[in-house]
Amino acid sequence: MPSYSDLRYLVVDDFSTMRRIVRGLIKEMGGQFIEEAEDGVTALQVLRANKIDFIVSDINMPNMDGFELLTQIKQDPALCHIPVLMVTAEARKEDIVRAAQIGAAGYIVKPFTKATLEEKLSKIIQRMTVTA
Amino acid sequence: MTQNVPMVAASPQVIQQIGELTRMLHDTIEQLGVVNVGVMPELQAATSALPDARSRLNYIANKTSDAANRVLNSVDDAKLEHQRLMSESRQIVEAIDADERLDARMRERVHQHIGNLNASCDRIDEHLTNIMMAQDFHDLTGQIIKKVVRVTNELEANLVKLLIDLHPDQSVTEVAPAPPTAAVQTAPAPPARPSDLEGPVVDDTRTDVVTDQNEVDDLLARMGF
Repeated sequence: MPSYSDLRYLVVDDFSTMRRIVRGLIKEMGGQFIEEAEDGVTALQVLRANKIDFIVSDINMPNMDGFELLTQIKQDPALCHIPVLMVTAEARKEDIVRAAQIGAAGYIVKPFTKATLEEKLSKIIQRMTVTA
Repeated sequence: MTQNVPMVAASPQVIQQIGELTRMLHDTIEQLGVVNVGVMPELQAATSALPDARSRLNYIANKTSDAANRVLNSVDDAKLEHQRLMSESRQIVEAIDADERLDARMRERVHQHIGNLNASCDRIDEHLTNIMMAQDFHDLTGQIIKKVVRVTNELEANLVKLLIDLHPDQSVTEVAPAPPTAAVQTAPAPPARPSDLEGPVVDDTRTDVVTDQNEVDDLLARMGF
């Protein structure tokens, strides 16, 4: 199983404070390489210019929302293997189901705790190892 | 681990309802024939008040963003200090362990002190993480402010249209309020196209939403994810 420090992360959220919080938590867990993007369009640019192993993405964003970003990632053969953890305030059951059906690796509803993020990250990283 | 989702959401039908209400208001005013008996100035005043309301919301968004970022900057600085202290503590322990001339009792006391210091540092670090996490209020309230600003934009557009319909003899600039001068600087721009995404939920009577992370996990588990 890769450790947190082995992976390269992309945090996508239109609010800079939330990006800083998620970045801070990943760093506390040992993550070192963390890129940021403020919407889906920028996220795709970052993904195509860098090697990214793990994506933490909001849903409700301008220009390209998290659902569209997730769809594009899953349709791109070069990116579809990257797990996407949705971290969002969208609490409708239909949104959670939709994210799972498109291919999200996990779904966290805001506000969340460090323990929740750590638990989901850990589970997804374990799955990465098993499926690798 | 169970956290309540803040009960703060706007109905996805809000915009449509505003349009319907405005049309109803328009029809009622026409039917009553009250255009010239005092309703117009009040409508104009209400319409003109919307840019001010929007500016105040933008002010709140900017101030809360500044405050959250200042707190996060301080947390970052404090965590760096914390790491430095922990690193120095480790070096001191290594140094006294390597120094055979040091009295055993003295070595034990220093060990004890460093141990207490490290435990204290761990607790402080946990507090700092909690302070950092608490800044999520800016994201959650910011999403709601964006939504309310979008609703006021729609309301204003509909009211201006109503005023123009009811008073076609006046020019648009006479009835319409000035365009908004200040955008939300720190809250991101609204989506380019209308979105049915809701943001944080405000209505605690709804059954189509989850209220905590456990419900998310249960829902996904039932679906086999």
